[in-house]
Amino acid sequence: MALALAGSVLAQAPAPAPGTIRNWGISLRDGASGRVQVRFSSTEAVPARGGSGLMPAVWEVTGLRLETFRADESADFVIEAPACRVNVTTRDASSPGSFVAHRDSDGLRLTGIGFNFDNARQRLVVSNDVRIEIRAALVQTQPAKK
Amino acid sequence: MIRIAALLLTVLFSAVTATAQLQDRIQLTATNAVLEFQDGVYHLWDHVRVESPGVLNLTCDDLRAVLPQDKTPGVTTTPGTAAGRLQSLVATGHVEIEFFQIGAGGTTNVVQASGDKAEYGATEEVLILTGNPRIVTSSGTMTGTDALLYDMKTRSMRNRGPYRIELRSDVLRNSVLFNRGTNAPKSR
Repeated sequence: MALALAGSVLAQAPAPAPGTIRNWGISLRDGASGRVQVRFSSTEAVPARGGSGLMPAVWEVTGLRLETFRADESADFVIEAPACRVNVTTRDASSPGSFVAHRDSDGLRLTGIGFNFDNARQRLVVSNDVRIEIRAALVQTQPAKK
Repeated sequence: MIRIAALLLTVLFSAVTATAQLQDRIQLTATNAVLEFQDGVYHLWDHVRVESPGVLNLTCDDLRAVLPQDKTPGVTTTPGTAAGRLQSLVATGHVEIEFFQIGAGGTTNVVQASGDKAEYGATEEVLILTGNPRIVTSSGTMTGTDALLYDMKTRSMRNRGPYRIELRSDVLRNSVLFNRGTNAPKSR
């Protein structure tokens, strides 16, 4: 599926260091439907070393908030990390540090140390100290069919 | 013989099915994990622990669980719906499980089970423990069986294949089984 990158970079205050952008955010849309698929936002972002051009692909961000969206653009799950590397081309994010992920629809809450989020495969790899809490049931009979 | 075996099994797993207060939150901890959100697959390994309060605690080396999410836009997944249920679970490597059963007097009985592999499927709602399964209750120990089957709906246990049961000596002390009259000559 062809995906188009339709993002916006917000720069609200003078950067404290060359290349630093405060309140960095980018929304990535599906090329066919135009709906928002993933949104990255952060308190601060710097193009990763070696990055260049008008829209660098890889960013080192602090205060990351990654949100994915369902087909109706309602929020799906959210990942928050104090520090993270984001690739806006592949829409992946990774960090060796702590993070929190949550999803309101099923009460999923996940914490850990070190993660890699693969957006294409909708896959989250956690490398240390995983704690998952889900609102679910081991024993629940199916609701009666009418 | 079958009657005695049934009696022993009944004594061993004397916990009575009751209207247990089932908590609707499951906690999983491990060193590593991979979550596949699309299919609702949770794969955890190294020091895995699953806590379903009031139902069971499980530890193992590797765990794969499938817990599908309702993909309907805007729908909140809740326990009781198909999407809110654990669809399948496979635990392998040093599997140890504590089952919590509500006794007749409202007390909680703990049944400890161990084995090499535990599998759960939502269709049958039965947890099957294989690979040298061993069960320990307050009444005794069961070993040497092929599989232990724990029915999550009725919260009852049964085994498959031959078995060996060791009962604690005090369990049958007051049982009529060993305190009834015999035809032995009375001592004078």
